[in-house]
Amino acid sequence: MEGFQMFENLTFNLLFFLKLFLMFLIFGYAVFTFVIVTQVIVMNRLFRHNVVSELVFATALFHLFAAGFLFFVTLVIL
Amino acid sequence: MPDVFTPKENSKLASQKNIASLAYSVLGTTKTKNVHPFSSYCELPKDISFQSQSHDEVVLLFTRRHFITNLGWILTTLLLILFPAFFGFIIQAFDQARIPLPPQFIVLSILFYFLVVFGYAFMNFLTWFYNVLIVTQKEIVDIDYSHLVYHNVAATNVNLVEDVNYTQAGFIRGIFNYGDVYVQTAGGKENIEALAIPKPARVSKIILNLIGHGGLPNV
Repeated sequence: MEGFQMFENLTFNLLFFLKLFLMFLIFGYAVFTFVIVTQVIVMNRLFRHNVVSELVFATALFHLFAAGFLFFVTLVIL
Repeated sequence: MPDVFTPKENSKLASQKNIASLAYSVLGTTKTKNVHPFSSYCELPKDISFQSQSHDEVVLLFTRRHFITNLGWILTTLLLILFPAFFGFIIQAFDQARIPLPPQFIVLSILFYFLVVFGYAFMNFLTWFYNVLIVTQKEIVDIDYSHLVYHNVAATNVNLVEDVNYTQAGFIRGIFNYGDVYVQTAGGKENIEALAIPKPARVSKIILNLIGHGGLPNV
């Protein structure tokens, strides 16, 4: 009964939905950044500009890690 | 009397000399140059290569969209960076207590917002960075990249090029000297377009010079 009440409270809690929504948004974005990294790898194979290509790849990786880290922090804090 | 046998090193040296003389007659120089990260035009670039490049193929010309065409998304990014400060100022000016969200939720939302803004700028940079036109002594390669998962590579042999023309319409294009170059190829081959590239007249002249030489398919 107590569990059901807690679930009921959570279900109708707007804040809970907002948190869940933010979590899904960040997760979706992390997937998107992963796609960017794969595309950078593909494009670097097609065309290479010595050091700059590596820098672009590093930036894409940083972007992916930033999104992953934010998702992890969201899971822990919210 | 012609030589029946020529040592490999001699033929390599001869092909290098051929390429150098071709580069000089097409570009007027044999000096190679470094390409900086935001460069959109370079003749005889040192550090550019592409997937289908053969070992004896030299990049004569490398070009992509003029950097000034990035001004739109750079300004948008700057506005998006400033927006939260402006938004926060407005909220403070009215009523702070009307937002009953926990502080950690607000901090995470702001961090996520800045990450998305960074992603927006990065995607636009990638679209500019990977849209390139490469001219070698053998072929013309047009690499197009857009919409995240779409890329198209069009390559044509220099011998198949029939005509080259360019358009440069508009005040801004005139000031910054950039325009569109169209390379028409023989038969049913795909035509090559290079849009908003710097020095379109020079690029079309270089390709026309190359057609005049018929490329160097066997060097």
